Amino acid sequence: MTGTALDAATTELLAGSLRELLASVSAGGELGPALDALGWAEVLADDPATATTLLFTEHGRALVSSRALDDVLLAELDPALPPAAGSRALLYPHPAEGADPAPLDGPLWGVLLGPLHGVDEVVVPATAEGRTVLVTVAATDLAAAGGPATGFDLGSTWHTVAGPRPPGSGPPAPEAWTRAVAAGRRALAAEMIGVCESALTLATAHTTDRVQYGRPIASFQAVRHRLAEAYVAVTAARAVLDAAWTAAGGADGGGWAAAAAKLQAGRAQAQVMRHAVQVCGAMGLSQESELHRHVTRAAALDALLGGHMALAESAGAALLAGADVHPVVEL
Amino acid sequence: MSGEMDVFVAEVRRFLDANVTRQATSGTELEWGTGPDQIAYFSTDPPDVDAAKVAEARSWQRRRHEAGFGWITGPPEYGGRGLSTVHDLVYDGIEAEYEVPDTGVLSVIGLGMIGPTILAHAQGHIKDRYLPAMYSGEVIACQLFSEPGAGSDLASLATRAVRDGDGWVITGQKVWTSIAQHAHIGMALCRTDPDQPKHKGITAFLIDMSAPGVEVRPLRQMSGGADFNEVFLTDVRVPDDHRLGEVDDGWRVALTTLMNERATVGGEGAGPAARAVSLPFLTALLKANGRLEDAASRRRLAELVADLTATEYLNHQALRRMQAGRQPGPEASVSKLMYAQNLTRGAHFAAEIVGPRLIADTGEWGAYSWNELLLSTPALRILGGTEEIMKNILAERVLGLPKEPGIDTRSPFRELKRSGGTA
Ligand SMILES: Cc1cc2nc3c(=O)[nH]c(=O)nc-3n(C[C@H](O)[C@H](O)[C@H](O)COP(=O)(O)OP(=O)(O)OC[C@H]3O[C@@H](n4cnc5c(N)ncnc54)[C@H](O)[C@@H]3O)c2cc1C
Repeated sequence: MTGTALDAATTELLAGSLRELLASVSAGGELGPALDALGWAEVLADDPATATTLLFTEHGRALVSSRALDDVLLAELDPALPPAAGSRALLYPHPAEGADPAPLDGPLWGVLLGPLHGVDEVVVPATAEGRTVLVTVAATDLAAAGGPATGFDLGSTWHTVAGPRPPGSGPPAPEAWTRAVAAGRRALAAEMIGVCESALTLATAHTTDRVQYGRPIASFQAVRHRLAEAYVAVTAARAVLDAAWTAAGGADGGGWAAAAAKLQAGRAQAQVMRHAVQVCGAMGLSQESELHRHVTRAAALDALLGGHMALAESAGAALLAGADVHPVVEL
Repeated sequence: MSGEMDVFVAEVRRFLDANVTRQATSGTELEWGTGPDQIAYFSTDPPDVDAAKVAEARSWQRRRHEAGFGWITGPPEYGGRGLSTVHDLVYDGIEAEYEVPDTGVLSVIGLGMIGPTILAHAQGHIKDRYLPAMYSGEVIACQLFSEPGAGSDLASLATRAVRDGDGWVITGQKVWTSIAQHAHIGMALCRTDPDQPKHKGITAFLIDMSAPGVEVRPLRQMSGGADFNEVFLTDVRVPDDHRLGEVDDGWRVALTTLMNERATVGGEGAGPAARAVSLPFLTALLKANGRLEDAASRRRLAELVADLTATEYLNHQALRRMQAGRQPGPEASVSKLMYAQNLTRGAHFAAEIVGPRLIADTGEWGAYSWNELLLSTPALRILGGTEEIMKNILAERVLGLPKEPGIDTRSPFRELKRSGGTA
């Protein structure tokens, strides 16, 4: 870590400003200018861990869909690329492929986090001879292959890209890609935690207000235990994320710990959403309630850059093959 | 099998062979990747497609009825066949081999729950008027029980019915009413005496859904379906002969419906969701995804199949008891619980196999299509009595555990604390 750590009061203040900022951004809108006005670059440089976690937690809480995550990954990729000709976006591997970029000799296949308004070029990671290369494609060349991702998360601005790949290659950058994925996973873990916290707040408020059998349903143990379990899951996810940041300075960008953080947050969202939906009854199942938006958003975030089930499988395989667990507390 | 049953089986096959086609695939073999892969539990069709499917369901029920299979166990004086539950099961088993329209919109609520309630509690001429019409597919019924302030605690419902001359005037709001948009009649629970304890002052009525003052507004579900509704009742006039049971004795009437609900929901067999959460379909899913050799998947598949078998057997037993004239008891909660758990586990099992392809459509057959079931299963753990309430029933009424302390069943309804203030 470089700069000075943010203290609690400053963090709280920043959280408030971020909430205001996020409340005013339209779906798929640009966060960049508003963050610039807030002096975000400086905050980020001072304390990347707190700043990133804060931004993406609030992003999750507000259920905003934007390309903010692109900046996190591009910060790791840019040094490996020729200077940018304008503003850049990133094409993520399709969730079905985890964090593995599609083969360079096959068609384009991935997701964009939002429409390409105002974007000049798109960084398209691809796999060539077992290594990740970073191809830069003009946004106009990609536009034809992309369309809004249909279905599951109706509030997201994701675009699926599938189509013929424009010719050309780019520099091999496997290390940069590994670091970018690690950074992306930490941010996604924070975002899922934010969605969970907001769902838990909704469920807590609903069960405290709603009276059945002459008392708030939150007074029934079956209900409060579910909420307490959900809280445990979120707290554990946050702990693993904090631990992951202590490893972020490592050579691989703390990849192993970042995967663990995303795995834990992914498990937490599954548990929190199951409990939150159950305690809200039919009210939470109807689209009149906000809850379903949390359910689908959390599941979509879980799927990006490796879902929790796939991450658990690969982590299990790695552990059995003798991988070291990152020491959480250095004495 | 007895000679009489052989004759029945032959009659069933003659009817089905003459009217519908046999399914291309047999019950145990399944061709992965062919045909529609929709695995919805609740309808997510646009209104016109939905309406067409309802029309098909009604017309198939009419043909069943004409052939004597519309209400196999029903009393002949109301258009039933007067046969045993075994005949009913045999019919269902054979029909499952054929391609027939899904009649869930009629059977689950109307024929499964409200029909038996009418049979048990309505006056003779009302039974004459509605039962044959319902079992021949002409009349669709919905269940107007839940209210914004009365979900699990159904007995705290506040919709008022006030006597007016030789009839009643009903005002209030019902909510989460499945298929109200298709229904011709609804069974409504209403408060008739707020000065009695909550279970005592309730009366049940049959309401004409086209009567002035009945307004149905759709609600959209998380899974995308729009098959539950809000129903606003404003000064709806109901003749007294449309009352079910005695005045202020509606809770007993409601229990008939609720017991049948648990048995019906728990016993539901057909439909795309049940077809998907089955041994042949899940085996094909494992095979298509190269997971046949995976020990964890095998174990989970076997556990699921064991639970499905247990649930099916419990339902058969419950049906036989009903046939012997015994109302389903608190043990019906086991079926309801297990049914919801089976479909939930089935959906999660599939989610694990298909992974993120369930969230982001890759166009692959039998992958993304699971998302509707996954988003529908939470509803199954809530509708027809939540999982927690089913467990409370088993704990208190079957295991005989002490009652949850502090639940007031004695004070007059008027004095109870309810959501949004007292009644
Ligand atoms: C898809 C769908 C279709 C439906 N169709 C119909 C219909 O056709 N007609 C109709 O009348 N209704 C219908 N319902 C409503 C259904 O009956 C109610 O949703 C159900 O009874 C639960 O009530 P609620 O949603 O108000 O939840 P609540 O009662 O508010 O419960 C919320 C949470 O609190 C828990 N809880 C409540 N009381 C206790 C307790 N004593 N102990 C422990 N935990 C408790 C519940 O288990 C749940 O987890 C439908 C619901 C759904 C989801």
